[in-house]
Amino acid sequence: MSGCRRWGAEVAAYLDGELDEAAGPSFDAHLPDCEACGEALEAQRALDVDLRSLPRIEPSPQFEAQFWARLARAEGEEPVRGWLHSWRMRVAEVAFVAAGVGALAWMVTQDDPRATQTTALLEKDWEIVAEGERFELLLDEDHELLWSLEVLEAWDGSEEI
Amino acid sequence: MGRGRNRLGAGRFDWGERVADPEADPDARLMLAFRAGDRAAFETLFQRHTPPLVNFLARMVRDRGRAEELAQEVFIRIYNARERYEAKARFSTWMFGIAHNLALNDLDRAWRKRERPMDDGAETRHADPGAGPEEQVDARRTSERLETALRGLPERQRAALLLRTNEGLGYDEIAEALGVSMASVKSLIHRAREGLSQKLREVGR
Ligand SMILES: [Zn+2]
Repeated sequence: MSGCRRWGAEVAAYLDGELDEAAGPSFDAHLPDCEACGEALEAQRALDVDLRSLPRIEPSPQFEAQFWARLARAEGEEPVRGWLHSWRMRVAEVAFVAAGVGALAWMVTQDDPRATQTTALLEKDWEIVAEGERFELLLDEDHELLWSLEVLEAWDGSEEI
Repeated sequence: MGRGRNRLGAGRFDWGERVADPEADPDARLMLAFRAGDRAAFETLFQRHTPPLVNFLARMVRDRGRAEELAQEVFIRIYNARERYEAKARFSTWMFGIAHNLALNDLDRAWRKRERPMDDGAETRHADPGAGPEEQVDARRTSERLETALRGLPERQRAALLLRTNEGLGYDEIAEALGVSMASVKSLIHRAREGLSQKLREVGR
C-alpha cells in the first residue's frame, strides 16, 4: 500500500465522520479517483468491524461487591481518625468547662453579683455541650464533673462526635 | 497553561471549553445530584459506566484483574471529587480521562518493574460465540490476532482507537480525555489503524 500524499492521513477521520465541513466534500470528490485512499478506507472500515465485534470484557461477578466494600473502607478511615481527634478535643473542652463550673461555684459561694448572669451563661454552654455532644455531663453537689463513656461505646461511627 | 493536572490530581486532563452544554449530559446531571447528596445517583453512575470502563482498561493494561482494580480506583476518585465536581465536560469523558491517566501510570510502573506479564491472553480469552465449530474457530482466531496486534500498539494510539471504535467517543471527547489536541487525536487514530493493519498482515490475517 503506497498511500496517498494528499489525503492519506485523513482517511481515519473521514471514516469516523470527523473531517471538518470543508474537507468532507473534497475527500468525497477525491475518493473515486484514488485507489490508495479507496483501499485504505476499506481496510480501516473492515478493521473497525472486527474491533467492534471483539467480545466485551465484562466485570467479574464479585466486582461490584468488592467496590462497595472498598468504598466503605475508604469512607471508614476518615471518621475513625476524626473520632480519635474529636475525642481528645472533647476531653480538653470538658476540662475547660469543669474549670468554668468550678469558678462559677466559687463565685456563687462568694455571693458575687455577677454570679447569676454567669450561671445563666454557663448553663447555656452546658446545654450546648450536652445536646451537641451526645454524652452526659453530670455535675454533682461537689462540682465534680462526670461524663459517660456509654455514648462513645455505643457510637456507630456514622458521624463525628 | 491550558493543560495540566486535572482536578483529581491524576495527571493530564484538559477541561477545555469544548462542551457547549455539559449539563445536557444526563450523567453530568446525575453527578451534580450526587454532589447535592443523592447517593443513589452515584450508584446509577457506577452501574452504568463500569462495564465500558473495565472493557477499556482491560485492553489498556492487558490484565483483567488489574483493570478491575483500576476501574474501582477511578470511581473512588470520582466519589472523593464529588464536592468539587463541576459539569465542564461530559461525565464519560472525565471518567475515561481519569482511567487513561491511571492506566498509563500503571503501565509505566509495571514496565519499570519489568513485570508486565501479558501475552498469556487469559484476560481476553473469549467466550463461546455460539456459532458452528468452524466458524467459531475462525471468529476466535480473528479476535485473538486482533487482540495480539492491539497489545503491540503504542499506548496512546491504543487508547485513542479503543475510545473511538469500542466506546464511541467523538474526537473532541478523546482529545479532552487524553489531554491532547484534536489534530493529535486524528493522527493517533490514523496511525493506530495503519499500525494494526500492518501487524495483522504480518501475522497473516
Ligand atoms: Zn487519495
